[in-house]
Amino acid sequence: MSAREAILGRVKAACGRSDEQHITAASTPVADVLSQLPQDVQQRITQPVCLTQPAEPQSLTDTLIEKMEAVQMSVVRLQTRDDVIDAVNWYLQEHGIEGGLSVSPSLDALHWPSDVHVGPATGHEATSVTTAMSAVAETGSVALDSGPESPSTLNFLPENHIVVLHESQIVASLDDVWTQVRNLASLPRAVNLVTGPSRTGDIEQTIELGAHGPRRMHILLVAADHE
Amino acid sequence: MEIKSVHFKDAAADALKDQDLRQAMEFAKHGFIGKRTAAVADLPEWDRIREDARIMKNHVLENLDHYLLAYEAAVINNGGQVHWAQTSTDAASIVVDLCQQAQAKTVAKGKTMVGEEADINGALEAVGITPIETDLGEYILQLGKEPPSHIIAPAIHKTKEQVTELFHEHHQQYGLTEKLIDRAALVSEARTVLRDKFIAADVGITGANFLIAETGQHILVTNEGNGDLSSVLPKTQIVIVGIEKVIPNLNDAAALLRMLARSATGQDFSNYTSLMSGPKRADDTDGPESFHVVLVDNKRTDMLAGELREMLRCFKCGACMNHCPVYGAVGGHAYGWVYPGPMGSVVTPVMVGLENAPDLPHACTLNGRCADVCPMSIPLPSLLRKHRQATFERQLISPGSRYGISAWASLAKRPRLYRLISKTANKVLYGLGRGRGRFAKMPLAGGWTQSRDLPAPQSASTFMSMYEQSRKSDEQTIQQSKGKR
Repeated sequence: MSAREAILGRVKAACGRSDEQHITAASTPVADVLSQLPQDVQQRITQPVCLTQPAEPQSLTDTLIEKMEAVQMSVVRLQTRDDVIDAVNWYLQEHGIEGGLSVSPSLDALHWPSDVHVGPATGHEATSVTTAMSAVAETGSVALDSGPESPSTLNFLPENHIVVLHESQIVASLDDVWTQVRNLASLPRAVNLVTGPSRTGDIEQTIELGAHGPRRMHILLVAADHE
Repeated sequence: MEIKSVHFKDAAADALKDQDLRQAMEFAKHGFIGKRTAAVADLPEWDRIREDARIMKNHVLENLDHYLLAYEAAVINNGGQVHWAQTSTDAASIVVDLCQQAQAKTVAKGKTMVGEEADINGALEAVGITPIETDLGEYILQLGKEPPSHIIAPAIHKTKEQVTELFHEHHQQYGLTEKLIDRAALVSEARTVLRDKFIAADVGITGANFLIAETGQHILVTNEGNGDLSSVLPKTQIVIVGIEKVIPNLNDAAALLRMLARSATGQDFSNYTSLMSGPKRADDTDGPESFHVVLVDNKRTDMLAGELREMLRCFKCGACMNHCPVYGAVGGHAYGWVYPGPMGSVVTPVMVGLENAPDLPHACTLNGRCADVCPMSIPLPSLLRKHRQATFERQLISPGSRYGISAWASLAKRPRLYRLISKTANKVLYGLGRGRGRFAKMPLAGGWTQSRDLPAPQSASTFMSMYEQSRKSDEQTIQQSKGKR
């Protein structure tokens, strides 16, 4: 008997079920596995419902900004996407940041200087600029889905992470992000909910920023609609 | 990891004398409790979310095989592979095999408690593969060759000065010779050293907070981002996780995520909450080329079958230990294995055998704070009592304690005799204690009076004798009033 059968067999026995249902083979397609599960289990997997959610805030934008600033993200508001490059330059200058820029391919259409690297992070650039799938007012997070247009190394390797976000992309709760994930054409390898610069409390339980991921996070919140 | 739980009493006694530990635990006590209380108070829906989560997880445990099958099928559909490990030893050898297949020289590891159960580091080192802990706390411990002492803050017992010494000793080989005393500088130096190791690592190993049957994703929660770097940079990604971590769908995960960080660190939400699935997709320009999940039983099915099933609702936030006076006094190492505090005292005896950890269920004052703060409503004191009963039945506690408990039990079953004896003892103690008010020493209770005095009875009568008396006088009054009529 394989370890798989042994474990599943013990679980069945522990749940007081005799072996009236056999254990489907590991290679069985998802739909066939699901069709053999009890009705309530099937339903909970294929027709998920929200459990208790926190009350929706009056203003998604205000709540988002408040939550983001509480976890050391800075936010500036822009009129249009055309202002992005100026805003990036201004931010880099203000903080005296040097050392190159990685930009996600989703922002390739903007007129970046020729020395800007477009693509996944190489580990050499100090700053990345990316787009986001959405932002969550409930938690103050940006939701970043991975893909050829938005490599996820950009979210973790550089010291500074700048995110271009459109106001229309703000959703109220985590459950709204899940709906977006389900509606994507295909499941991305990763969806990173990022809520502020990387931090650690591992030395005497005192928070320090920039443990492994970015030390700074800056949000460019664009008023005009996406695209 | 070596099991030292059988030495709990000696280790606890040593811990109480350790000044560095005292200093470190003071920091922890003040931070965690206050922040959690504030974060929970800020979420008016807390009680309802907590109840939703309890019901959801109970449903999962009743259908665990079904949800595991659905999760497995979804992982395979996403291009991943699923491995099953019955024991911690099996888990370690599966991980070693996968690393050898990947021809790994170094492995970047995110913090995983199941990995600690299986001593993945020891198993990798034994075959010449170098594991690198990337969580700052775990990294500090790896340098100091120590096990973690807390499930979310593994180096909670270390002072800043001790970290300074460790980094000074181990980072000189990289040309970093300055002795750093500033906390930010220490964090920065660790970042520099670990960054190169991340980029060079052939395999990334992490745990997972939740497994989603609906999508085949696992959710990984960190503050540092080390888990994400370990998942995205190396060519091979391995997730090692207990079978109880599966939940039906993403909305169910939201309920748990709303409680996890608040319970653990008092944050509203952790920095990085990542939903990951499978290797990089066809068009992706980064991400691992192969993806493996190792599902570990290691006695979890025993818990599922027995009286401790509720323990499997645990999502390892650490709130129980943060609020435990015993943990706060002795720290995590005294518990002698991977899991300390109240949840550890329930889990460890199952995983390593009650005979190897007979004192843990007794390292509890039954004050109930752990159960009050547990986001998954696990009745920890009741579960510890079940272990206590077993230590008695299996004769795992000292003969003295056993005879004492037996004697008390047989007395408690004979109320008249019990009252007679307590009345007599009370009278004697009252007589002896008059004038003094307290006893500094008692025969047969030297251990108890070593650190406190026994108060002398304040009256020659016991509660029961006073109750009898007042009942009699009440009856007399009633009789008299009837007589008058």
